[in-house]
Amino acid sequence: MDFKSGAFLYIMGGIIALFVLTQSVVFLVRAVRRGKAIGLDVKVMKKAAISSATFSIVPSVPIALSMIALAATMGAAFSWIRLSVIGSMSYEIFAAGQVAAAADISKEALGTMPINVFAGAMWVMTLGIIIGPIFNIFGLKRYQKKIQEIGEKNPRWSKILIDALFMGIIAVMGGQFIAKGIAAFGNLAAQQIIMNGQAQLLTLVTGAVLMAVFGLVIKATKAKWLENFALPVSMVGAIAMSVVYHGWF
Amino acid sequence: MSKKQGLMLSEYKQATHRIGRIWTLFAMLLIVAVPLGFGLIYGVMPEWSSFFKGVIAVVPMYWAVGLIEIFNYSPMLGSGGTYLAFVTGNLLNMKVPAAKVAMDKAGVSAETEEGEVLSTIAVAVSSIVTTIVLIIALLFVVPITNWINNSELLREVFDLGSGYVIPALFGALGVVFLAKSWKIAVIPMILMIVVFLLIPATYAIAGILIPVMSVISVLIARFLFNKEKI
Repeated sequence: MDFKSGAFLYIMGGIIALFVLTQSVVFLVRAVRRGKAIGLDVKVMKKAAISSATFSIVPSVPIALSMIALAATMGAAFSWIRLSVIGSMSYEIFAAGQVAAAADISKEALGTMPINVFAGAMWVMTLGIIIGPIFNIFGLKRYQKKIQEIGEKNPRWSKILIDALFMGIIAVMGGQFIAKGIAAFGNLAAQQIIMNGQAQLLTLVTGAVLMAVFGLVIKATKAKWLENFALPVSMVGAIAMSVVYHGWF
Repeated sequence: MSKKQGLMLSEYKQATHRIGRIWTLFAMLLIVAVPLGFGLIYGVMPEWSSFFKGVIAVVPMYWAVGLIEIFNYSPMLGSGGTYLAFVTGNLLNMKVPAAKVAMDKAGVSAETEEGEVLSTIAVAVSSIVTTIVLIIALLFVVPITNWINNSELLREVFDLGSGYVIPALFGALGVVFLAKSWKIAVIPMILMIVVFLLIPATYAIAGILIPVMSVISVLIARFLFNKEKI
């Protein structure tokens, strides 16, 4: 059997899903008890639970879509695990892609990622997200007061800082496909380096245009619920168009 | 009475930290057990070269972002909400807004005891919903993945290296950031395009350039911030 869909990963997925559900229920029960103890109206707590449940269904759909997109490379079971705990749709695809690119497996069929590269990708994706739990175990209690202090002191800079950090990724990943596309259109580099460069650039542009259209529509109609669909639908739309572009070149 | 309540509050928070740490520790052990157990069962070590390149590309960046996320979101989530949300993930697109909406509807803020309770309820319910949706989606993933792997065209489209998932993602993500912070973006973006065009060998080490570009972007941002241009 394919190692990506072996029993071990599915069993671990089951354990992790059960773990997350149990932790959520334990925290929920504690909070409700505490709410009652401080005289918080049960109706208010019920309302909070219902509003959170209905709100959460919509953003769960893109997470499920990302799981499907990631499953093509990393298999269904590990994708399920990764998106169930400390998951983030853009991070997972990016991290897996980095390892695949470093191993130069781009020309091989997706289903045949060598087992040692897969193992490496699993470790990279795991190590990348482990900082949150580590910090919470050792530092959250001590820092919670300080955090508020810093946030209050300079909330604007802390937002800009996050944007700037992300810009590193955008500049390298976006710049890479733009340069590759220019090189492919102008025939400026070796064929194997710029493979699919034109179609990749067009796909990048399509993703950007679709996202921009979403942004404009959301702004014009004030349809806030659309925000949750903007990224996954733009991605899926761009990927669908890539089939056409791929045929062109 | 108020003194008693103050004491209770601190006891509750103390207990939340204690319980939160224990659950987080077990979550971490479970997460690490996945690649570790896989390696032991299949008797396989990571392919070290791609592993290290991947680590360099991913870890510094995401550790920095992870820490900043805790900085930013913890005050909005309260202690119980933070412990739970940082195990279940999807903060920006889900847990933080869920908590905020719940607190806004009740007209309380996160620093209050009521806010702490409602935030925890919202994050817990949200986590339960996502986990159930993912279990349902999993039933559909296998047939869809098999369908992709059985078609040569779809395999090429979904290839992570020369395929189209990554350009689609970064086109869509990139335009949002460019629109929001184009002043920070212009120089790093042009710099990268020029470097890739002039030295095609850098494609192979693109991941390693990410932390470098992040530092450059932060320096540019700080400069603009100090000059009050952003």
